[in-house]
Amino acid sequence: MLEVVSSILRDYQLAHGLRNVPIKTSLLVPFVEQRGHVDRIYLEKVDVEARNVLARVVKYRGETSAYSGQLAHALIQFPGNQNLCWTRFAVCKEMFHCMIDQQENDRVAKLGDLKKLTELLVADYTTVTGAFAPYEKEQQAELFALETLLPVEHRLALKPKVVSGALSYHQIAERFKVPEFYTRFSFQPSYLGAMQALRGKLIEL
Amino acid sequence: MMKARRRDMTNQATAFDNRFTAVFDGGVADIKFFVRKAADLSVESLREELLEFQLAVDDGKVERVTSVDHELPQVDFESAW
Repeated sequence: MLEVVSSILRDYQLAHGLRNVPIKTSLLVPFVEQRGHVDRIYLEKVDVEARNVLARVVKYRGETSAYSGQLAHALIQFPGNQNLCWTRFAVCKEMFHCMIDQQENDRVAKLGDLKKLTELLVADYTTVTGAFAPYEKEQQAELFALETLLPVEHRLALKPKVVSGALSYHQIAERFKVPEFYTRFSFQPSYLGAMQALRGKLIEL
Repeated sequence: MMKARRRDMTNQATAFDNRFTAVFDGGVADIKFFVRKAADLSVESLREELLEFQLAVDDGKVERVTSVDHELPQVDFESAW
C-alpha cells in the first residue's frame, strides 16, 4: 500500500534530498502529476473563513476522460486563514487523491455520494461505516500525507531522542512543519512499527 | 423560533443540493475534502461550510499560487535543536 509513498520519496530524494526538511509539499506536485490520473494540478488560495474544511480537490473531466479514465486537471484549493503546517498537510493530502482515486467508484461525482461522504466524515472514527470507497480514500490520503511529510526514515532516526525525552513532539512538528497532532500520532509505537513494516526497504538518508 | 430554525436548515440543505448538483453537471468528476473535525461538528455545519467554500470560489475569491511552501528555509533534520 505504501509503495506510492516510497516511490514519491525516492524521486524527491534524487531531486532535492530528503535530509533537508521540511519536505516541501509544492515540490511534490510534479511527481504526483507524473504518476496520477490528472494531467495538471493547480494550487489555489481561497478567501474564505474556514473552520473545519482545510482544503479540497476538484477534478475536471477532459474530452477523452470517458474512455481513458484520465482527467484533465485538478484544482487543490485551500483557505487563506490556516497556519502553514495545516495548509501544507491538507494540500499534500489532497494531492494524493490525484494518484490514488484511480477507479470510478473511488470518486465523488454525484450529489448522493457527496452527502454520504459528509456523513462519514462527521461520524465518530469508531463507527462501522461499511465499504464506501471515497471515504476509504480519504483516510488513505491522510496517511500518505503524513508518511510523506514526516517519513518513517526520519522518525526512526529521531526516535531515541524522543524516547529519552531529549526531543519533544512540538520541536519535531516545528522542524518538519507538520501539525503536532499528526507528529505525536506518528511516533506511537504500534503505528510506527506498522508503517515500517508496510514501507519495506527504507531509503538511506 | 424552532419553526424558523427548521426553515433555515431546509433552505440551507436545498441550497447545498442545488449548488453541488450544478457543480457535478458542470464537469466535475471528483471532489474530496480535508476536514479537521471540531468536537461539535455536525453534518449540517460541515455542509454549510462546504457551501460557503463553493460560493467563495463562485465569487472569484481565488488566487492561483505556485507554491504553499517554496520559500520555507530548510535545515538538516538532525542539526542542532
